[in-house]
Order: sequence, then structure tokens, then C-alpha cells
Amino acid sequence: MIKNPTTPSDTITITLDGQPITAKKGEILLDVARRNGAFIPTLCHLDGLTPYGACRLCTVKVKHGSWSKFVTSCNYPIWDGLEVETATDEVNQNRKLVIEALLSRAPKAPVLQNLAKTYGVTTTRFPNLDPAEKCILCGLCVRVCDDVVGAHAIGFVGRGQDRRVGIHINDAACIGCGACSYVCPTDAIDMESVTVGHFRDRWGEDRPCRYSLMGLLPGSVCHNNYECWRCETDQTIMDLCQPVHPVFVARGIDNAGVRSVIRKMSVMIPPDHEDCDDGSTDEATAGQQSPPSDT
Amino acid sequence: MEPRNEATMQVLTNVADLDALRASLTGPQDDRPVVALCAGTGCRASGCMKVAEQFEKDLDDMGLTDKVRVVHTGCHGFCEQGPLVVFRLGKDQAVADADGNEHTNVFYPHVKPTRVRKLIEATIEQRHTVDQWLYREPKHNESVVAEQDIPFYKHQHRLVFDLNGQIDPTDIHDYIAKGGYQALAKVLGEQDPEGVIDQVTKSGLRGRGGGGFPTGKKWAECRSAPGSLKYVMCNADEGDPGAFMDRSVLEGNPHQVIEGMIIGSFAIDAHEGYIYVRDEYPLAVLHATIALEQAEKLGLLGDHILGSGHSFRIKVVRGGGAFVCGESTALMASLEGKMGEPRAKYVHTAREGLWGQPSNLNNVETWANIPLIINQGWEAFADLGTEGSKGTKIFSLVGKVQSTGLVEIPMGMSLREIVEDIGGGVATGTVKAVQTGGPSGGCIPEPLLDMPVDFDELTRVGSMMGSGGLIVMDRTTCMVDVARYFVEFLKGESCGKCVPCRSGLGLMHEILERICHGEGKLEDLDTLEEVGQWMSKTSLCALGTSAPNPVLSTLKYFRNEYEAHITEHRCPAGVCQALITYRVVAENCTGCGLCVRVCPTQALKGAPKEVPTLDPDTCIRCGACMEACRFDAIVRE
Amino acid sequence: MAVEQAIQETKLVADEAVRVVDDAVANLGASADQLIAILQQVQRTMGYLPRAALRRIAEALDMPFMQVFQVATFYKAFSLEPRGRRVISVCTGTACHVRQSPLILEALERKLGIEVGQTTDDGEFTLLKVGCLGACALGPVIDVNGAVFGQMTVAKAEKLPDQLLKEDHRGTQK
Repeated sequence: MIKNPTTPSDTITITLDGQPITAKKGEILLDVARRNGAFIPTLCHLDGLTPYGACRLCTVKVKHGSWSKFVTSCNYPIWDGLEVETATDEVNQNRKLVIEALLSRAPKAPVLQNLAKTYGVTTTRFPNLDPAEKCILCGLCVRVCDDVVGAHAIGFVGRGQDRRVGIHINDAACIGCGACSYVCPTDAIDMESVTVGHFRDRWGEDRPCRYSLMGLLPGSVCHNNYECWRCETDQTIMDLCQPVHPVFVARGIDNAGVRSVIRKMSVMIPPDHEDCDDGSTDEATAGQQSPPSDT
Repeated sequence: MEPRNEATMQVLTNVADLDALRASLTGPQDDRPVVALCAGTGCRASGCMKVAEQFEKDLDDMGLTDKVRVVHTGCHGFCEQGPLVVFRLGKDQAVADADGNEHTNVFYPHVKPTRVRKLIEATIEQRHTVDQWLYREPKHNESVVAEQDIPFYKHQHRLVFDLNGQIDPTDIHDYIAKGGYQALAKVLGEQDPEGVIDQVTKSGLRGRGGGGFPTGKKWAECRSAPGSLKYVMCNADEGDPGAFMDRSVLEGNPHQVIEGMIIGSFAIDAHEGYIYVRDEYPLAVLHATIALEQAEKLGLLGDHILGSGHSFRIKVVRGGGAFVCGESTALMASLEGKMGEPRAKYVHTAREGLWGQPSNLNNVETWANIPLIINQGWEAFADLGTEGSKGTKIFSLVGKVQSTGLVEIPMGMSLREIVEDIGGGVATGTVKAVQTGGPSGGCIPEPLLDMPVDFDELTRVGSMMGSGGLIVMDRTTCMVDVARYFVEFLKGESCGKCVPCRSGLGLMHEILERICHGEGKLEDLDTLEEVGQWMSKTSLCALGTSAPNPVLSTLKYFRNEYEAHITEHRCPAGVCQALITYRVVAENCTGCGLCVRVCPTQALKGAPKEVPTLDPDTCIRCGACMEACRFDAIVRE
Repeated sequence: MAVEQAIQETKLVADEAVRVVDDAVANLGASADQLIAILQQVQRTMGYLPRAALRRIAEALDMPFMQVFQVATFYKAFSLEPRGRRVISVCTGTACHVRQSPLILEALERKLGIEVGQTTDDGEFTLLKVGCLGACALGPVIDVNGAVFGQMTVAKAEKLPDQLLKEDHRGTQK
């Protein structure tokens, strides 16, 4: 239920846990709440990615007069006069059940153990269907690959209880950037021994450096057998891009200034590609990756 | 398939053309006796197409081909009696029954090809009924001649379904001859979009697909949404197991749905439309496709419809087999070529729907109501029904009731009237519960059956209108098994996106399976309630929020049955296989040996003429013996 | 030799898949709203969706392969593995359920020696359960390649596979 604004100006007032606060009409509730100091946990939310509303952890209660409803704050646009409860027993009861349900999927994940401690969840009644599973189906990897990387190499397959994240179904589209692993809250994607292995199988001898596939470096070849986690270049770029993953830099979403620094890293440029400019880099990577989506 | 009169498939450039076409179709040639042969999916499964061929052949042999009109109509609703044939005769063609009373409408159920010749001879040549083949109503075992006098039909109020048994759905002329597209002509010729929305709003029509959202309000929001590209869609993804009214309407009278959509597109100012049909309904897809082609040929779809400034086109799209696609945002995702995953509707689809554009989605039955409201006036529509629920509603009355099929009733009729008067009650004597609202609905216990059928009343007792499934249950239906069944269905249909729906259904199913196997614990019931409340409050879409209804409603009204499974390891209805045994009743047994022959595991042993013995360890409780026994000599307990 | 044969077969399937997809796209149009319809046509023609077909569809509709794959695994109408010549779908809709359709399903599993979702080794039968065929008044019902069999009993179900094989045999003799 979205109310039309009653005040002509864009600035509206909502009540957050009893305190009146002002914000812009249509702003997302989670952003407003966090900005004003409320603690709302999330698992499937990441700034810059399309909100998904799947984990339901950020659910809060919104009220207006006698009307009330539980909504996910990560995608709820606010309106004037809205009253929000972010941490009542009722709201926390939902969080407990979400944590309990997800604990059955990934019992050892530190993020879930911490949440369980915070909310006093000690056991789970939900059946564990696959003890080897770590994925909680938050979909961050899928969205980062679709929305940021633009490679569309990962997707949900199946449905319902059989739903899983299809990681190595479309290896031909994977650029090995590792953004999926980077955003995964439960370390369910094994970049080092699994994903890179697939990547190596695909490219064989003709191995491009993953940073060239990301478009961060001019077309260059890997000289370290894809052992990125032991590669000096990799470490340098990772450090330069802190606190974000290089792919966010590559896509101009964050730390854009770093991009030009990386491009000048001569150590990575093989002799025959020395004078690559922006245009030819794009050409070199064309066909290996789809253009980033326009998010 | 081409309509019978190809010469009249000229583009209609204005309302006068349409009137002229209609006048040409209602001439003297239509005074021939009509054989209305139901060719809906139900009757096809009973072999009606063979009956149809026989009619053609016999009429030809008898030299009557030109003197009798055979119409392959859509579903008449009384599917269990199929194949159905109704003779519709002129006053001077009336036939006499055994008592000498004259009839112009004769209904024959269970028609076989071998009966066709005699039916034609008796009706057309000798002008009398064939009494032994007439319908016999189960309560008093008396024969009934006319369709409208059969209790199953007599207590109905057929508006949306009115033309279903009369017209050939593959011929647009049949629909036009009966006044079809008159509402559209009226709207395009005389009215403005706001006026149309106003009539729909005042009629009180609410969405027939389940949610019951006021249709006029939905249209108004879509009309006022900014954007020049808008979509109008028809939801024919009828996934509720046990409901098939949308299929029947789309199969039997597709033009009424299309006419409704064109009127809606005019009101909303949309120029593109979709009919999203469930994959399992091939005949509905075919008939909708034929209807669209014919409407396009006549210029009722396309540019400048009937010479007006309005242009509109419709595409048929088949679903891929997913119950969740009945949910609006999932349906739109599916239309966009994506997984049918719902998304939050905090911004209504009337503003941001298909491809991010303002979109209006209504169910088949809702669309079919629109021409009626325009033709008869909103006042007539609003006169029917209760305060909050207007007009009629089609239910599919199935389960343990004597007469099953599709029934259209005015809102406000009590559930008891539907079950007893229309359905003829249950064979075992008493109704235990009625389940409404499809898999996400609830079970309403017998003492509450006097409540009127109404969107809000059904919700109040923990069920819902849904798309109109009405499943009757008696003492041989186990309520725990029913809950387990619905949860299993929904578990298979949940898209798996949000945690409460995916995990909640998984846990509920695990618990209910245990209870049905006699391995439940009393604290399981508390968990079911806790998880059910959680799902209904916090799931992403309506599938998830309503999924616990079958569990919560049976827990509320039939807790004793759950407890019997848990504490006494007993299934009172004799359904849960792990908790039942079969026994041979020696005094009823004639030693015919049939049970011994059908037993797939040789658990029943015995020489001919002897009472067989049953080995409980080998018995897999498949029930084949009990089903085969004609002497009630095998009982389940 | 066996490897070469397998490679040859894969290539044949891939060639056919491309042909079938191209036909479907020509028929239905290369737009996203036709994706499901295209997949359905390929499924009907080939009995399943080979990877090569999914790849070709992705190209034709200018859509990520992953999206086509997701859709193909989400909807029940599709199968990524070859299905049997006859697909027996047992309706497990509510009306059929209360009229004992689970026993019918069990009887067929027993008779065919397979579980729901599987295909017999000889490739003759695939056994599926479906939500509702919409022929509720005739329950319990079974659908075999589009033909509906109503008012089933355990005994009728046990005889059905043999009956289908026999009918087919007669059909080929004609």
C-alpha cells in the first residue's frame, strides 16, 4: 500500500521506533533507518545491487493508523506519516525464524552464527537437506554477476526446495573476476580451488589475465597459471581497489580514480600490447564478456 | 478451423456493419433443431468426439444433415455426466415424454455412439424422448428431461456461463448472433474511458482470480499511471488443483473474454494485450488463438476498431507449468522470458508492471463479466450478491459430492445450498468439511456451511474465495492428509526465492509426513502453528502468505484428528496408509476370487470358492482388492 | 569407435537442435515473450531440451544463455533429459487426490518399475505427476501424450502400460 504524498514538498516525516525523522519521499526504508541509527540486519542486500527481498531478515513492521503490515525494508519506498518498528519482539521473532531456517542450510557460516548469538537462536528445527551445502540462496552472486559484472555466468536453477545457484553451468561466460565469491556472505563459492580450475580448463594455454577480462588492464596474459591468490599483480590491484572488489572499480561503480592507476601498471603489459588504449582493450575483451548492464 | 460462413468475414468498419452482420446471422435458417454437443475437455475425455462423428454420419445416412444443426459447444459444466448432448427444439418441434408432456429442451447424459441413431430418430422423426437414457437425479431417482430442470442446473444462476453450452466457440458468428461485441460497440460508439471505469467501479466487481481486488479501482490506477505504453493482460494460468472454470470459459466462450479485454484496454488506454494460458490447457490455447484470428479478421482487434480511434492487439502466450505464475508479478516475469519469480509489489503493477510499464492483469472470469456489466448496466450487476461481493461466481464443485462439475451461483448463496441443492449432498450422508480457495485456502467445517459465499466472509473463517475451487469432504477424508497434500503441492510449486515460503513449507511437510506415519509429537502442532504464522506474515508473495492456510485451518477445526494420529497412531478417516489395515469380512465374501487376482503382491491367497486370507506383512495397502470387491467383503480400518 | 560414434551422435543432435530452434524462432518470432513458447516447441519436437538448443535460442533471442537455462529448469513443462515415447502424467489435483490418485500413481510406479520423474530403460514410458489437468469431475485422471483417461482405478492403471503398447502395435500394423 503506497500512499500518495500529502505534502507538496519532497521532504516528509516518518516515525522510526517512536522518533520522528525527516527524509525524502520514496527513499528506501532501510537506507533511511540505517542513516538514523537503527540496527537492521540483512543477508541478501548490498548497496549498488537491485534489492531482492529474499532473505526477509530486514523485515520491519510499518503502520499507519489502524493499518499495519510486515514489509522488507530493503525495497520499501517510504511515504509521509509512515510509522516503523524495527526491533520489537514481533519483528525479532521473524528474524529468529529466518536465522533458524538458514542455519539448517549453512550451520557453520560465521555470519549466521553471529546472528544466532545476537538473536538468541540456539538450535534449528528445520531439516538439513544437504550437509555439504553452504549456500543460503541470497542471490548476491547472481545479481553481482548480472548487474555489475554483466557476464551473466551465474543463475538460479530449478525451483522451490530444489533451487540452487548454478555456478559452473555457463563457464564460457565467466570472466573469473571472483566478484561472486567476494559478495558471498557464507563463503559458499570456492574461487581458489574450484572456480579458477574451471577457468583454467576453459582457456588452456591461451590464458588472459582476469583483470584484462574485467577491462582493468589492457589485454594481457596470465604468467602465474591462474594462481591469483599468490600473484603479485593480483595483490597489488586488490590493495589499490580497497575497500571494494576490483570489478566494482572496473565497472566504474566505486573508486573510479583507481582505474587509471591500474591501467598504467606497466609490469602487466606484454610487449605486443604495449600501446593498447581504451578502445583496443574493449576490442580484446569483446566476445569474451557481455557489456555491463546499465544499472 | 474456419467459421461456417467465410463470406461474412469482412472487416467491420463501424458499428452499423456489426449490426448488419448480426442481423444477417439471425435469419430463418437458424430455426432448425439444434444438437448442442459438449466438446469441452471433460467430455472429450469421456469420448464425445466419437459421438460427434456418429451424429455426422447418422444424420447424413438419414438425409438430415441440412435439417439439423449440430453445434460443438464448450463445457456445460456437468462433466461427470459426459458426453453430454442437449437437443434444443423450436415450439413446433417439441417432443413428448412418457407422460405426454411436451419439451423443447432434452438433456441426455453419458451418450455413446451406439445411442446416437436412436436419439435422432426419436427426437427428430418420432418426436418423443428416450426415457431410459434421460438423466436420473440421485436423490429421488426420478428422470428429468430438460437441462434447466436438473437440480444441478436449476439452482444455478448462469450469467458468465450462459452462452457456454449454446455457441460454437470456434465460430465468432455464433457469439455475434447472440449479441456478442454489442457491449464493445456501445463503449466505442457512445462512451468515454472514464465512464466505462465508473460503471465497472459502481458495479462492485471484484477480481475473480483470488485476491478480490475491486476491478474498477485497479483500472483507474492503471489509467492514471504515467506512461504511454500500457499493457492489459488476462490471467488464464489457472493452477489451483481442483478448479477449472477459467479453462471452461476460455474454451467455451473465448470471445466474451476478448470483448472484456478490448473494453478494458479502451478504458485504460492500452494497445497491447496478452492472454497467458496454462500449459496444461491445450484446447483453451487453441480456442483462444482461433478466436483472436477471427476477431482480427473482422477488425474487432487491430487498428481503429469499429472505426473508432482505439487500437488494440492481443497475443496468446502459454505458461511453462508453474503454479506461482498465477501471481501477477511472477506472470509478468514469465511473459518477459524469465523465471516465474514474484517480486515485491510495494509499487503496484498498475504503475510498474510488464517491462516496467503500467499494466493491468485480470482473471478470465473477471474479463468475461465486463460485457455483461456494460450490456445489462451496473445496477443489475450490483443487485446480485452481498454487500461486499457482487454478481455471480463460478465454482468447481468436486470431491465427495454426488453431482460434480462447474456451478455458477449468485454471491451470497450459502455453502450448504451449493453442496446439498446443487451437488446433491454426499453419498455417505454427511459433509465433514468444504475446502475453498484452492491449495492456499482453508477447510471450513460442516457447522459453518450456512455462511454466505462472500469474499470477506470466507477470509474471516480462515479460508478464501481463491479462484473458486470447492472441494467437498466427508468422513472418509483425512484432514491431516488433506493438509499434507496441499503442503506437498505448494512445496513443489514454491519458487524458492524467499526464506519463509521455501523453508517453512519444507519443515511443515516434514512434520506432516511424520504425523501421517504415526510418528508425530504433540509439540509438532505448536511448531506448525508458529511456522504457519511466520509464513503468513512475512512471505514475499501471496503464495507464501496463504500457503499455511490449509494447515492452520485444519489445526483450528480438526485438531482432534491430528491428535488421533499422534497419540493413538490412528487415522480416523482410514486414509493414511501407514496407519490402516485391510481385512476380509468372511460373511460377505462369496469366494469369487477377484481380489486374489488383482492383488499386485499376492498378499491375498485363497482357492476359488474360499474366503481368501490376507497377509498383512506382504500387503502394501494399495486398495486394489477393496476397489475390485463387489460384495463389501474387504474393509479398511 | 564408441567414442567416435558418441561424438557423431552428439553432433547429429546439435544439428537437429539448431534446425528445430530456427524453425520455432521463425514461427514464433525472436522476442523474449516467446521464449517459453519456443522452448515448448523444441520440447515437443525433440522430447527434451538439448544444451545445443538452449545455446541456439540464447543466440537467436540475444539473451544470456544463463537466462534460457534458468527458465528451462524452472518450469515443469521442460526436461533437460530425453523423455520416454509416452509421457504418463498422473493428475494429483485435489479432486483426484481425494479420489485416491496416490494409489494410482503407486500402481504405475510398481508396474513400470520406476519412480515419478523417471523414464523406463526401454525409453517407452516417462511417469510424471501433474498439478491438475482440469478434468476434475472425471477424477482420478491420467494423461498420456495429450489423451485423457478418466475414472481410473488401481486395476485399470496396472493394465494401462500394456494396453498402450498393444494399441500402438495395432496402430503400426495398419
